Amino acid sequence: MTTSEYFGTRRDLLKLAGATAVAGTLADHVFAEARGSVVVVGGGFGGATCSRYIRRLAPGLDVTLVARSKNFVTCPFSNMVIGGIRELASVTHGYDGLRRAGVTVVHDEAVAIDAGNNGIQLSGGDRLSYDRLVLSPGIDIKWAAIDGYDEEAAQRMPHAWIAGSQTRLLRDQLGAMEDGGLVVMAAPANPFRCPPGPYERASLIASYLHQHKPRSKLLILDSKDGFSKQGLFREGWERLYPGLIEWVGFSEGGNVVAVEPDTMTVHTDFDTFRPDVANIIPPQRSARLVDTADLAEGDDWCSVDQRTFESRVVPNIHVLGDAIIAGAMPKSGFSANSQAKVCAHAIVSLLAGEDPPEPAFINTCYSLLKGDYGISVAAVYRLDENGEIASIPGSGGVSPSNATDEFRQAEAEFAKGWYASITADMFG
Amino acid sequence: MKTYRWPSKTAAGRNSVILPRIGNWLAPLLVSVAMSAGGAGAGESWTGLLAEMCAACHGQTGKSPGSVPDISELDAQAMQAFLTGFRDGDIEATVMDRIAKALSDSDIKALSRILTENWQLLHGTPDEENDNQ
Ligand SMILES: Cc1cc2nc3c(=O)[nH]c(=O)nc-3n(C[C@H](O)[C@H](O)[C@H](O)COP(=O)(O)OP(=O)(O)OC[C@H]3O[C@@H](n4cnc5c(N)ncnc54)[C@H](O)[C@@H]3O)c2cc1C
Repeated sequence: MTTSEYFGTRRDLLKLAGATAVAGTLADHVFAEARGSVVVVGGGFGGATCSRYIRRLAPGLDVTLVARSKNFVTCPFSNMVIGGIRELASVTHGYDGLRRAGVTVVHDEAVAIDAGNNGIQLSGGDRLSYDRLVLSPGIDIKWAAIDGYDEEAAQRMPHAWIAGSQTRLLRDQLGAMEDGGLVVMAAPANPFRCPPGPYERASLIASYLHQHKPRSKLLILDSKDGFSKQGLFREGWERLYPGLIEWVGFSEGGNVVAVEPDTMTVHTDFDTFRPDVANIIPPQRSARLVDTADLAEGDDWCSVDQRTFESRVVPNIHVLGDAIIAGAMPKSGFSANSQAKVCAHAIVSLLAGEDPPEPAFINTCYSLLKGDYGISVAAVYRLDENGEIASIPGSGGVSPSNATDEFRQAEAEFAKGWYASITADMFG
Repeated sequence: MKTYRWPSKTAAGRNSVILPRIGNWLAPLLVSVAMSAGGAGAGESWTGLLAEMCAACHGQTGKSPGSVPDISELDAQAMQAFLTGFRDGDIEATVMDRIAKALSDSDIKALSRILTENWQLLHGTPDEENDNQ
């Protein structure tokens, strides 16, 4: 089928699907005749988007979303909660919009994939069967990758890399800290969830300290020698918070190897620190659910066909978002949202016996250095000749350096606009 | 050479608090752009899915619930003019310049058509609205 056939027959198909089925849920190409069951695990960026778009494209499909809890707290903008400029409630979303879109939402935990029988076991005892399974389960922390950093240690030295109670804990620790205190952040080596995330967080912690506890210091101990949007972050730190943030890269001894939560001690290869607040962002891996079907084959991340997001290991299972290596795309909420749409189109096409359309992806990651100071990195992607997601040469890149205040202010406004739009795109 | 205005709804509506501040970058109230007449070609194939990606910032109907400029009222020609202008540096932007650089003339043409047709369906054409009454 040509693209103009795929995208060009909407009007007839819309009529076929019936006006009520598509009211408010535009379809480019409504697969009205598609039948079957799709189970989506993970009610975050990838999973919410994918289930909503599948229903939009193929109102005849049964779509069940397995979401762990009644609410989803987004990591995007959780750094603003930590910096005290937003409340946790404002980054918390429910699933009623997805229910209105015809998605069956089940609040449970998926415990085992039974790929041989196209089924998935939930902890509550139910078992769901699928024609196609979508997993967007995000990350799990690699406990003990840093010596001494386990689940208990995270209660004393929060990672706050999965948003919710960890976010609140870190914010409250910063709130309780005396002026003149030392905050240490450990940042992991690549790849990890949200490459600019630690540095946005450092900025917003600095913003809080600058305003409320100006004699304090923030030390970033990094397991790598460079980071996303580095030039722009450092330019901003110098301007906004001179002397407050110190960054120590891997070669300068920044690699955190061990922690002792009882004595609030952080060890690098060469040094020992005793901070008042320690935000340890440890190495990560795909959420452990994938191991029940050996989808990562002992690796940290899953490998998929980047056109359809079908696992390269087990057929009929699609994996997307942070849990996979997706060519040149970073692990971001925008990436997961983008991949979820491509995956939704692929799945409805496959279930209708058609070829999936040619993928396209966009990612724009905004970072705030202050409530009204934003920077971004953007890229547009398509498949290269090897079927790998590659960014298009000559496009994308980071915000200009030495831009005016108005420009940074505009990007901060658009960061907020992006957040409003993408959460509406996901949750309705 | 044609002259376009940013849709009045955008300038007067919820974005008005932001647009004056961002001035030159995003709200070129009066934009003159040379139109390119590139036909559909190689670009057609991936633009269908590319169109889906815009919703993450601009909303599913071109109207963001937040501060991202409302593009729901643009027709295909105006959309094409904006994208071409962003790409070629004739219209200043914060991020759309970097994104539009990924697009060929035929990509822009196809994308503009697909987006505006999608949104028209969502908003309903006048005919369809009458049908519903
Ligand atoms: C501090 C911070 C700031 C960030 N800021 C940005 C930003 O500004 N922009 C951006 O684009 N990205 C940002 N990100 C990255 C973004 O959060 C992730 O890339 C995104 O959440 C990935 O989506 P996902 O669907 O893969 O995983 P998630 O969104 O994490 O969703 C996975 C869901 O699956 C659930 N789950 C896992 N296992 C199971 C199971 N067995 N059963 C049921 N449910 C399960 C999880 O509980 C979770 O709810 C940020 C991340 C952090 C940490």
